[in-house]
Amino acid sequence: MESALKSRRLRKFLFLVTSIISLLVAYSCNDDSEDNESAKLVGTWEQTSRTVDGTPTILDSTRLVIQINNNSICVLYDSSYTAISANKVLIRSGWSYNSGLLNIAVDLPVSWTVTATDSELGMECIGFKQDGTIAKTSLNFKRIANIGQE
Amino acid sequence: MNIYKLLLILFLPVVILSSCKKEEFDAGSAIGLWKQVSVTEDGTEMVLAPEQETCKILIEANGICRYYHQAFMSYANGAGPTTFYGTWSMLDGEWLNLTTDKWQFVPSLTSDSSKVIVSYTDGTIDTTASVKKQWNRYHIQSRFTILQLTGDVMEIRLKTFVGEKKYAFLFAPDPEDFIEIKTSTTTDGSYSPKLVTDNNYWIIRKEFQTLKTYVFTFRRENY
Repeated sequence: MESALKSRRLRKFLFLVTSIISLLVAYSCNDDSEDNESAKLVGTWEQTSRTVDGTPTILDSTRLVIQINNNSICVLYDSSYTAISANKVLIRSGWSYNSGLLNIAVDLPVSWTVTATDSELGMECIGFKQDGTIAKTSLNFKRIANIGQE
Repeated sequence: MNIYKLLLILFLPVVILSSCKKEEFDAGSAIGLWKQVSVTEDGTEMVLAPEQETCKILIEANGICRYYHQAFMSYANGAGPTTFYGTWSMLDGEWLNLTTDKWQFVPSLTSDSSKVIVSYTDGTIDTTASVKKQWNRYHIQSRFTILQLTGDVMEIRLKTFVGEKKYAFLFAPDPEDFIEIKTSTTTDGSYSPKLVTDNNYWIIRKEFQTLKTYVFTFRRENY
């Protein structure tokens, strides 16, 4: 009788320990920081400055405004001569954020390292120049009212 | 208590913990800019063309990698392509998977005399039309064994056919093995492996039947 009681207590104890360990492991494997970063990107952003290798240069007219929707779609407002001539100033693209990089489908294989606050968004990409050295392009944006494109 | 239940309870945390175990090589260590410093073929250092010596790989955290080399830079009047891209992943901390462009050798021979079939225009060989029928381009994964991956050095090994290495972007082809695709109206930097003729058909075919082991060594560059 007493041994059966001990056995039940032991079983309960082992189940409790197992559950706690499993929960701890599950949480230690889960990283929700990416979700937080991703949420900060959602909104409408107007380009304020652009630098290439640290030197200020003219704005990137292919994306004077970017609207990042939370449905993994973003809209680039392309004011380049080519886009205006073709009457295609709205470019829709998919986007994702993983491993600290913002992937905009129309830009791939180039991806962006982003820093976002409530009011500002910084995007930096790198790429090979013709001579094999690395060029760094930085775009800075400020948050503006949502334009409401889907 | 049933012994099997006890074993299950004791080993369940071990199984879960082992799912988070550290791999032999950390995928994060591969991220960065790497310059190719040497290539060996069956242990012998390969002599690289100057255009191949410029080869670099930019490996990024999102699984994309970009390759740089100057093998085709002289095309399109000096504005030829220098950047190419693919994807990467690490498997079990031991293998590095990289995707690159490759070409499949598919020339046809005449049935009567086994001569290589080429296209002619005005009595001369039409190189562009011919190579388009002799090579198929595709993008495929190669699995490299990681020999070394430190903060400074990445050394990876691949056993493959000589032809698979030569007519692929592993990682910079020899300019002698490729030609620029030119038409009467365009020189846009397009490229293809060289024209297959009766003179080189058997040489190339043998290259696709000869297995060799290649070791690529890269040194990390800061940017």
